[in-house]
Amino acid sequence: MNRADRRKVFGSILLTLVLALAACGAQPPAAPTESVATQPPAPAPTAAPMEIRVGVAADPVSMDPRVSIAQSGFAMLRHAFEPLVFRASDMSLVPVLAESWSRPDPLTWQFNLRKGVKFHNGEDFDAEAVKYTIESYMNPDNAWVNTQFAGYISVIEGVEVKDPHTVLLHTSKPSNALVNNLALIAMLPKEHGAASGELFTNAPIGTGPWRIIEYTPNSRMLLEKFDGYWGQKPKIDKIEFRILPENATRVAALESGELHLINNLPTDTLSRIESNPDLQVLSTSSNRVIHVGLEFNRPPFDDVRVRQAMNYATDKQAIVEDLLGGYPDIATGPMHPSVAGFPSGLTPYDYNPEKAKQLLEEAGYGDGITVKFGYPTGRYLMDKQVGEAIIGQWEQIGITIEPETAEWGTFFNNRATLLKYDAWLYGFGAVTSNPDYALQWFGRGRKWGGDYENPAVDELLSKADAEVDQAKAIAMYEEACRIIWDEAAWVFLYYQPDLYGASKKLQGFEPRTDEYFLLFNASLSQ
Amino acid sequence: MKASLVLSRFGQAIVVLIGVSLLVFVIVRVIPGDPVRLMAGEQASEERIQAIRTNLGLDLPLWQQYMIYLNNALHGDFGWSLRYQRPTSELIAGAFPATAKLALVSIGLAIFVGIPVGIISAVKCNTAIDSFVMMLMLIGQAMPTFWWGLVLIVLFSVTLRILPTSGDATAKHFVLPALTLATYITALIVRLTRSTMIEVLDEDYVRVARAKGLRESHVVVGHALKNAALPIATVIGLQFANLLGGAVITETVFGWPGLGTLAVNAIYNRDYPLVQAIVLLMAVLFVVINTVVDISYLYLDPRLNEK
Repeated sequence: MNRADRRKVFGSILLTLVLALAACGAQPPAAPTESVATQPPAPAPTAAPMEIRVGVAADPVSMDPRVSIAQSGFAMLRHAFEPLVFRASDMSLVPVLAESWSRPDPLTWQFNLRKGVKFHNGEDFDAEAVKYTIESYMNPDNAWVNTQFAGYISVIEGVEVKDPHTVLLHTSKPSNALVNNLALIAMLPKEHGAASGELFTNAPIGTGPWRIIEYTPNSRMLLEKFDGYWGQKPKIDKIEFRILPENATRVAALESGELHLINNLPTDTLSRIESNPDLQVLSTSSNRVIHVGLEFNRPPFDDVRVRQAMNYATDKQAIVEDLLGGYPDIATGPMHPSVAGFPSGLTPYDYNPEKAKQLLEEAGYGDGITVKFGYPTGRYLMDKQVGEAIIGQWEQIGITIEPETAEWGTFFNNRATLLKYDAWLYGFGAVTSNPDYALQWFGRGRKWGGDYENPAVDELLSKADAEVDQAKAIAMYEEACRIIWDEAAWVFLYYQPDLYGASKKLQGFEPRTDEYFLLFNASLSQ
Repeated sequence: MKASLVLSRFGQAIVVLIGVSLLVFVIVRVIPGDPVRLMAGEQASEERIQAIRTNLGLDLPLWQQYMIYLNNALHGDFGWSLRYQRPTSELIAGAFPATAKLALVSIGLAIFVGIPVGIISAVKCNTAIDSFVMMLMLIGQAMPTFWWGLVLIVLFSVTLRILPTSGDATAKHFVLPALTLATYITALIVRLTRSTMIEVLDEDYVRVARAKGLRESHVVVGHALKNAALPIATVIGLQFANLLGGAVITETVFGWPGLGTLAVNAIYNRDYPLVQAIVLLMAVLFVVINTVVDISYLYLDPRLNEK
């Protein structure tokens, strides 16, 4: 066989590969918008730039703050976008793009805007930008905007530009919650926003201390310090958020020194991280209340004694110690103590199976009850294991459980659409950290069926939101909390811990109860 | 002959693609889960949920939805992602290069190692070398990708700290995911090459070639391998198509921003249009590569040309 034949043989074997390569080339080229490069990177400073790399479990989904409703997305985008007001680490409201605000009458909020603020593209931030932003969030024609945001600010009837630095929000009814909810509304540049429309995500522009220079879905988001920032300049020059949904990889990337910080630290790695001399575990009790919802509208959970029995039958301490490394705080109320309106002196539901049995007997269920119990997999910290532990505990007092676990999409459909469960493991975080939001499941937020319903609570919550006198409003929230707690609206479990693994070089980073991981004060030591 | 083969393949491809589009359309709607609820979030009211459903046409009868989808697809519109709020074609175009690059490196590595090792194993059949190679290949095929990927990360990233755990920025980032993917495929190619070559090496024409006094390497590569190439090319083509569709587990483990990751997220979020678009692309890739492999037979086996 001659050389030409030999070549033919090898060429033939590799033909598939070569032609397939050609097929690849025939695919449409990557859209220039996929990885956004909004502006050319600034020239490198003379000192070595401080760059921090953070591993996050979930993709922010979009660089348009009107689209992203993932909790981690809120936190990532907060570095580049700013609202009128935000929350300090103690959850008190602090001014950001509004210098101050007042309520000239019960149906009007006035915001006095900060002067000299520029967007990343050089546009001025002013009252027109506020008007544009709020209207774009609320405009039903903007199909790409997540309707959840319009819900937060739905009481707004009109936005009035009083002067370039003063804006009036007219509301359909008095609402205290509106100011807290505005913390979720990122201010956007009017001209650029109107021009880019639904493609804003490809060229995201905010006023924050960092600007977004790259986003590749499911891969990374890169931010660079914005030199024209109006406020205190951060120490960190660049932030890279790396999207790593796989727990083992995220932890490995931290251990290898590639990352400085990771969120959603799995509890089974806690001791490993704690014993690593270069790493540390950072945690706080978040305001996400992990609970078991109970089908309120049909027996047996329409009886308060049965609901209380379920609370006494659940050993929260064992779950927290054995499954969650002792990190979570057991729930002491229907919302987190950091939220205004949290009452003192609620009687805890200590683990007491005997009392639980007695209450079931009193309610006429001495022979036991059968409960269809649903719990998700992969949604909350160790949710599957927690669900299994609860089943074991309930079975001890003679409750027959029909368990069902599913990934979130299926579980959510079973709960919200099919109303399939009598009891369901759920977590609810008050992203705005105010009582109106935190207690919404017991009042205005009731929507799927099966949730706790009490006209007295409805009235208290509704009046509290409209009450101009804050002390009176707080007293009403406290009263509502007492009723909800005493009536055992849920099986209250614990506040989900917000767990981070971090390099010991990372300074100035503090976990927050609202689960926002913010790097405004962070730096890296040598 | 070639023209008729291409035409017949083209006709079959159309039927396959319509079948796949219908199948995936039905399957994503049969699995439990409500895309609108997941998209709108827990806070959305029932009125808003209904409004979105109407707006997206998800309240129409299934056959009408399918007709709209098919009509749009024929006009090059593969839908709008419910989760990302962007055109699905844009998202796929963004993710495909990462997957294609990884697929090329992995299949290249597997071919580069697999064919020579398979030949050596066949030539040294039933020797210690052959047994050792076969044992390694058995392990390579049996190891779960997920576990193997993590083992490589722990060894090379955490312990030795010489390779990155994740990302796709530099050539270094390709090493671990490509090694993870190539391990299984290499094992497959080695085993197939070995078994095919053993058969071929026993043929009369090989004995004749040897009797003619040709060098052994010439006999093996020039005579035997040429005749063993057909099944090997088929398997390589199929594996390559598989990889181009997105190596879901490997991409997830290594945080690789490819089609596999995109597909998983789309499924978790019941992002119907995106799932449909990705599956359709996978089907197209399979059909194209299978057709290419079929056509390559004409070159690999000239007898087919004569028929």
